[in-house]
Amino acid sequence: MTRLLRSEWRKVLTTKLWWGMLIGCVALTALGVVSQIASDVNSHAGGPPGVAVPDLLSQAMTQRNIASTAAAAGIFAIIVGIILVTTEFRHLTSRPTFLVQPRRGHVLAAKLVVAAAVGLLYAVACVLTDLAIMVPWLAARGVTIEWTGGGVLRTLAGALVAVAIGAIVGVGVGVLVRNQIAAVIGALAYFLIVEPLLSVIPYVNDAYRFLPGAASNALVDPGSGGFPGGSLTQLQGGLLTLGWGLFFAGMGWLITLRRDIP
Amino acid sequence: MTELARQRPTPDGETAAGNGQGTARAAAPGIVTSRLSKDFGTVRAVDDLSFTVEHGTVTGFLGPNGAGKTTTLRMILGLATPSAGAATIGGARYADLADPARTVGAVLEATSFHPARTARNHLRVFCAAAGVADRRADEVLEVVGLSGAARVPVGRFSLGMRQRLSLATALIGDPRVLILDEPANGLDPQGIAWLRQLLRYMADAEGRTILISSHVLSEVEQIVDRVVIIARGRLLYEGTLRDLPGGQSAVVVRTPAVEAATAALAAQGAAVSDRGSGWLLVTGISAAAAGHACWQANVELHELRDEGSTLEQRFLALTADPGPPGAPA
Repeated sequence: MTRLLRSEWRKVLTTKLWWGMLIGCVALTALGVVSQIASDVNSHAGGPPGVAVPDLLSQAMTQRNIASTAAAAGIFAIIVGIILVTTEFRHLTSRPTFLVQPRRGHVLAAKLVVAAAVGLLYAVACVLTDLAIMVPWLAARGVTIEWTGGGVLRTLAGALVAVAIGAIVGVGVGVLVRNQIAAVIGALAYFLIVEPLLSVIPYVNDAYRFLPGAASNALVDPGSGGFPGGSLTQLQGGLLTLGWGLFFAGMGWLITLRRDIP
Repeated sequence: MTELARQRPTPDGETAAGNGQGTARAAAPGIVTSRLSKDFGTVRAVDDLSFTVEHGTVTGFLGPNGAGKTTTLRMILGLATPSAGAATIGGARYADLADPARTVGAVLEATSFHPARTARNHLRVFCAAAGVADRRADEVLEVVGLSGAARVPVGRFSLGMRQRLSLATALIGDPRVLILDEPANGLDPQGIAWLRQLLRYMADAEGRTILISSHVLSEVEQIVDRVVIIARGRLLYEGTLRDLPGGQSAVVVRTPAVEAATAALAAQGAAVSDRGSGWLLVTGISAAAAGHACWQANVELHELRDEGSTLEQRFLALTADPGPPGAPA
């Protein structure tokens, strides 16, 4: 297994994908944090009368929202997970890979571990970006960050785990849908369009909280959402997201890896 | 250059057990397929195929395109699952090999590369997976003559360079068995000569077992000890090239009177094909009978020669598609 982990890790480091996507998710996080804080600052004008700006920024919910921006790396981690798998089928590196290690389940396991590590790297980068903007900005406005009392730290920890699990979900999707373009577009469409739409449809939105995107949101910020059936706890959200990732990977193993390797 | 092929990979710290298997491996028998079949939907690509590749020999795996060669090799390598039958290497199915990369090296089509990865990095990825030291990547690049292109992304490689890199990948674990699917594809004549020399060296000096597929007999004719010939998924012949059953012999005729000669020969029941510039290739008749028929018809001949049957003709005759009923053979 150590051999496979080294091999899979090298595959990641020897193409440009990982740092291209790293730049992408750091940039998206920075943009998200800046626009979030700026809108909270500017909402003073149109906000509830009598509530001063520092009050809005000092609210724990606002601070958690700013912290949860780090989870924007999640979609990048999913895409990286998908590409790490589908690129093997696209460029047929699946052949030498399975020739060196015919136990296909072992290869998949190594892929899941390495993808999760890449996801965690992205998560750390995005959390640091988040903090690097949020901490000095709020300090400059004289706001105290509610690290523990307001759950900001829990949200940051949740974002770290959510992004790493996102990469696992991506590997699962990739091994299930071997076609790279179909898998990437399908995942983007699902997480950015389909799930948000489902969340606003009556009767469906009660079950919505169990879907991968919503479960991942619960992992980051369990209070958010406001579903009729109540939101999942952070632990439930985390386990459910991981469960989805492993479910996809398991289905992919059954459907793709037990068949002939192209 | 071939000297380097002998260098054994150095196991890194974690593979002390793998090193021990190296000695046991040497005594293992070659490749055996037994009643191997593969169906794709309703098409039977490989049909009840049994053959043996003896240890330490170079065996040519021949057949026209679409004969089922690649599918058979993929089943031997565990990439495809047989519909029936089994294939073993040294007595074990590929999936059950203790250390596949050190037992078998395979060259499939030369397309299994990420285009953005350099040749050296490509090899190092699989050095890690096979548990051999990274310097093996540089050694095998040297063996296939690609040291100068080690840091070039594979996307910029020519087809011939990709074939060499495929071979380098197969050699990473210094395997005793090599399985090569059309390795000469994309190589220029010098490249083919180099490949022949390297494979012959690996078999003779290093005692490796080599199974090499081709649809062109002449590509492998000079290096193989034995051949396995298949067509339409079935075994046609297994043995030495010398014992390959003879095809139909042909007579070559050169004449200024092509039409008269064709008529005279056809009247004797021979099949005549016009090869242009007065040359005719005649089958179904001996040289003596052809000369007599032309003499009787008062046709002038400039050349009359018994062509015998070349290996290539015997191979073509053996593997020829019978075609629809009534069509000329």
